[in-house]
Amino acid sequence: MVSERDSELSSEMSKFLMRQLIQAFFWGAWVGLFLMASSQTYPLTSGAVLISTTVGVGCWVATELLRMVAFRWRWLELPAWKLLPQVGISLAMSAWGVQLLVFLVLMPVWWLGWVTLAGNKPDYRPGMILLYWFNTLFMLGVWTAIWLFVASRKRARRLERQRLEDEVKRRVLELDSLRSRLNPHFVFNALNNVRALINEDTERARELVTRLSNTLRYALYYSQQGKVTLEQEVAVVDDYLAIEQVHYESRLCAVRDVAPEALSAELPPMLLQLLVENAIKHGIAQNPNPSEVHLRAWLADANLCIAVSNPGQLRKSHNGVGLSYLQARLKTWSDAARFSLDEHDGLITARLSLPQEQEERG
Amino acid sequence: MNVLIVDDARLARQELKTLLGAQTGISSVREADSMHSALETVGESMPDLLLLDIQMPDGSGFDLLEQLEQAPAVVFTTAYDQFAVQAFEANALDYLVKPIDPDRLSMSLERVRQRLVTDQASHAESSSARVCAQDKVFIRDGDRCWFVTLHEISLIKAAGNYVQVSFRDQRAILNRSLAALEARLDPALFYRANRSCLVNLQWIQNIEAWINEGFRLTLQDGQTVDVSRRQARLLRARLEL
Repeated sequence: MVSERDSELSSEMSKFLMRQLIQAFFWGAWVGLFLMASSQTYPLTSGAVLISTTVGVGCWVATELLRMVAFRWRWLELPAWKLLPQVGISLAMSAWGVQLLVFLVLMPVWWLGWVTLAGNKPDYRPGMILLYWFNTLFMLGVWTAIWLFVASRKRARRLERQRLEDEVKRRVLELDSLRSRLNPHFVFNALNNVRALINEDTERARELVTRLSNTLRYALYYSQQGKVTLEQEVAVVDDYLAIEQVHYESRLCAVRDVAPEALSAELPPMLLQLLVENAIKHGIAQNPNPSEVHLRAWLADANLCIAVSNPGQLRKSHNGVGLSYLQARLKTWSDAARFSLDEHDGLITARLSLPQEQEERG
Repeated sequence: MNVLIVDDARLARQELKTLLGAQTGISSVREADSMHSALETVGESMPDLLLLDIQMPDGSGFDLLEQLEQAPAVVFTTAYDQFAVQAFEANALDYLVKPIDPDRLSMSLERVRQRLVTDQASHAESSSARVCAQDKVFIRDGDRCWFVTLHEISLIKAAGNYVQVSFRDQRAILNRSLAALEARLDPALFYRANRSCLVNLQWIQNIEAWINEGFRLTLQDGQTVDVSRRQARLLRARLEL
């Protein structure tokens, strides 16, 4: 961690130094060009060198400040009609600031007689002041335009990378969800049981095939939808439990306790089944004695509340594919959706709370 | 062939029994629904073949194998899980995925039959009650497991409360004491070189005289073991035989 932060710091540092180098070059070149150009018409005086150097340094400082303002006010994210007035005002004030600096530096130095000027005294007629100001404004404007162009290009690239990264994350999540919808262990065990039942009890075998078909159809089609009603989800969980009942026989005892008014509540598909699947995996499959999976659902304050419990102990490493999918799915449902997993008196309970009456996002 | 089916689901066992009923050469089929009942059944009499499910409520199929004195022929049966591939790498005879294809099952049984014939031939040579050179043991280290015939093991080294077993250029840590292992192993095959090492005599390539009238042994896999003075005398006696 420490070395990571160090390298981050040093990369920040080298970026800063690089920028100052570019600044020095830019303003140095400007000062040089200005002096060369003015020496064509006027003799080069020490005063002119002092003035243009001060302007260069002033602009250097001013543009660093402008850059800070740009980030503070998020210029890169603004639409043009909001951006232009902000940029205009900031540039005008910066140009006045630079000219004020020149005045404050020049006047005492001239008064002490340390520099000579072309007209023997500073030319501060109103028209000239406006000209100086405009000159500075122009330079700062050129700098800002270049900076805005480069910075917005950089930002666009960063956003694009971010978008691609998000896309990859979404794909990984989709894959996880597919895996949790079609648990191969469940499917093949069910098929194996059908095969045994065909000899033993044809009617039950036929029923099992129907229920397995329902479960698979739901997993493949309905789970693509943004939301389903609790009634739909409970129906498929019933099929699911019936199939597992055939597998675990007397070891599985499922108790369902769903408030009738909760049946029309909505939830993301497969969430209930995921909880029941986990309960069976950790509560029934690892327990040689008959045990109970208890499923409850009710409404409380416009929230759909679901609790699924099974006997067992919570392990620290209790974080499979299913639960991470569940967490991610909840996030797209609502920020107020809650999930918790706790253990009390040898009973693990998974609790889900889903706010109703809101539009689903994304 | 005597078969023991170990699976926690009754219908799965039923299905396997039906499938075995259609096969020839099966003399008896027993069932166990958990690791513990399987251990009991094996205690009564050793089956020729274990048809073993991996996930069971009171311990996995691997846990079961770990507790057996010696591993019988094992074919894993599984619906689907990552252990399946692992079991195959573990050098089990085979693994079958449920629902099991009858043709695939008879292939697997044929393979077991061949194994049993070669095993019986080698068993006839030695009548030791202990685990002998041709016997297989099940070794598990974390997620990896192997069936290893004893003559493949070159060196067993104590490391704290554990032992490190070297075989086939692999090393595995076992949660056993060296003394407990030594008691189970054939002394004609394994020799206690010093306080912390059991060496397979067949793997010794070179013996040099070493300090304190001891020896330094070089094994075929390149490992070296120092023999203490007291144990050196024993080794001399052993090799003179």
